[in-house]
Amino acid sequence: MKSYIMFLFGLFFLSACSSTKEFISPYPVSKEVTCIENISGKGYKYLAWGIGEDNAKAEFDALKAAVWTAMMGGGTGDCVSIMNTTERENNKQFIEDFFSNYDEWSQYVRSTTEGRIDADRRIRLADGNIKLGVEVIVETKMLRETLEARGIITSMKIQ
Amino acid sequence: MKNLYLLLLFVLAFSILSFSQQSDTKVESGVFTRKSITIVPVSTGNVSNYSQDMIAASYDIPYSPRYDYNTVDQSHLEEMQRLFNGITLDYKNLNSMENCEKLREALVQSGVFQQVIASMGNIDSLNARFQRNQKRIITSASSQMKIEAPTIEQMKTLMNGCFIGIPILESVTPNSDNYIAEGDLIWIRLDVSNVKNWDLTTHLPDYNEIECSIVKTEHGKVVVSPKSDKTSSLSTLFDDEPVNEYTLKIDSRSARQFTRSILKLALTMDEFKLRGTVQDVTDGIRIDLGKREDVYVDQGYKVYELRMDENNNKKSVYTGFMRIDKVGDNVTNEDALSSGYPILGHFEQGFIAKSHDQSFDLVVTPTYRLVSIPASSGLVSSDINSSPGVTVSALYNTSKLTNMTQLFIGVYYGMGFLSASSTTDPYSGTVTTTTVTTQEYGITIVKKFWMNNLNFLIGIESGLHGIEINFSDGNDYQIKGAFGIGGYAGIQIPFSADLLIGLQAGYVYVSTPTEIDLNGTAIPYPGFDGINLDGINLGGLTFGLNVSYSLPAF
Repeated sequence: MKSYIMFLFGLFFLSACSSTKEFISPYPVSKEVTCIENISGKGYKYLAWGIGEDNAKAEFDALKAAVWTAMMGGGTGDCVSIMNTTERENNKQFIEDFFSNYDEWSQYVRSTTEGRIDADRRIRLADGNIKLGVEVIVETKMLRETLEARGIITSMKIQ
Repeated sequence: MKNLYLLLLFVLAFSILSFSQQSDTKVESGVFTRKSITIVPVSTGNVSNYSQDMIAASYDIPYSPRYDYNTVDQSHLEEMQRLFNGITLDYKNLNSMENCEKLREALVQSGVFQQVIASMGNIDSLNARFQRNQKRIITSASSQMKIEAPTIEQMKTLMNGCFIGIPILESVTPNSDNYIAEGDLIWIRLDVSNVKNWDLTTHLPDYNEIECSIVKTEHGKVVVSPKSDKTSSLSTLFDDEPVNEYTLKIDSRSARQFTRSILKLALTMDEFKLRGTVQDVTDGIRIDLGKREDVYVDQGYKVYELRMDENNNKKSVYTGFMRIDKVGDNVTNEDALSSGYPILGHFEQGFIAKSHDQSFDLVVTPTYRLVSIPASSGLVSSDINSSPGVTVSALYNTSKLTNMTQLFIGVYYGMGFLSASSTTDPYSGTVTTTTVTTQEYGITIVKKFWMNNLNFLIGIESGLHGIEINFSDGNDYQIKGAFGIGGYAGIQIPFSADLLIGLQAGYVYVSTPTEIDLNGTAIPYPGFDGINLDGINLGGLTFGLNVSYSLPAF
């Protein structure tokens, strides 16, 4: 009996000490994005809300959310998404890889706030996380051309 | 003395309680919208002869870059006065809808209303005000195309920031050498939110659809002194009366000062408080307000964090208090920030800052001083070597004048309560009980330094000292003519935006008193055998508590 208890205790100790790799989703935590306006046909300006442990992480999430919305849709406002439903379904692995690679998605988006926070756009949530609203510009024209060149989406140009 | 400590304990408990109650408040916005103001002075029939003085004062108000001004022609203001004589307000319920409607009707009929709307709604004026309202250079399609015009919603917001201040003068009465002007102050806000008809050519809203509401009322009173040489007096520093009015009759001056007091009421109104966002906390605290909004050195800001609970309800939580030490010049550089230093609490980027203007600091200092009043003086039965007491000071923060943080100048009055003893009245020769108090008054200069939420202060003081001895046989002696000069240092801890409590110690040198009054009449000294002032020393080391409370702006 004693050895059995010792075995259970050892098992518990080992399981407690074993490291579990935390699953980090490549997708934005927040997908609350509002389209503000079209920028000279080259991109869209969005108000994107991000969620994170601090301001920097929340801003990071907001930038990702804006690119996500530009590609996949789902935001509010009049901006058109780059990918349609079929393209989204057929390229799930590409989308996951794309948003897993910071250098990949971040080249199409920039914050217009230059490190500042607009009034009333930083909220601490009940779980302690920060929700941050950032005005960003997504270079949708450039993003579309890249996706077309990689064969992810079909060209909109009339041949 | 025990009662004094109880009072201090009560103040401490009250301040801690009030700070904790401030933790959960309504939602405070960090969005600053420029306000435009118009002063429309009127007077009741009995003092209508001051109408021209009031109108003149409305054109000669201390301008602040914080506001835009919608100026109204004199003829319209005169017509408003004429129409005002025909209406009767309910002064007991000054902010009633009936009063609001009556004033609105008079404003419309006099043409004041239309002129205000034309002034604030003019597209060029709106564009200029919009530019002044911007916090940073906006990157957008319109800015790329070099079009920086407000949207319809932004125009409406600016128009809703239009306020009309109506000082109603009701009496001007002499009082001793002074004159007192009294009446009511009313602030009306215009609201274009529900306007449906806009003129297609002028882009102005149909004024019949503009809604009005009374946002603040107060009974106002100003006291004006007859000094004609005010230019040379210290009071010039503290009032905003133009120098060119000093030669006017005192009653006219009081009517004019009453008109200007409407702006002091504005300082207390939540609608007029400056609002901004904390943008940096790495090198001081930086907020996106500056010279354009009339931010000044040592202006206080209450800081809030916007929070959301599980039910998505927003609330603002009061997290700290800061003061400005360097005003950013956002007139020449739109992105310039003002920097501040923390007083209380903690700060993070994105917190909301709301101005909290203060005026004088009232300081109560219970003290213990080592003095020397020997029995050989003939005033007391045994040697007195210490004096518990209390000093009250009123300190004025000179930052607006000197641009230096936390430099105060003020006046003080102190009393020391010495242990009562029985002794022989030097005049009557009878043995009686006595009450002995020391008194001092003078001026003081204090400089405070803030470090890590602690306030270190050093000060100098200079004044006159004396002793008052009341014998129970009815004879009262005043020992006077002692001049004192000294210094002190201390440390204070903030308990709220307005309350500081700490300790201080100092030394004051006081010369030997030279004069004696008996029952208000000077008696010769030396030459009065019963009293010897030589051994009296009212100076010495001083220790004490320091309780400082900042009064709100007025």
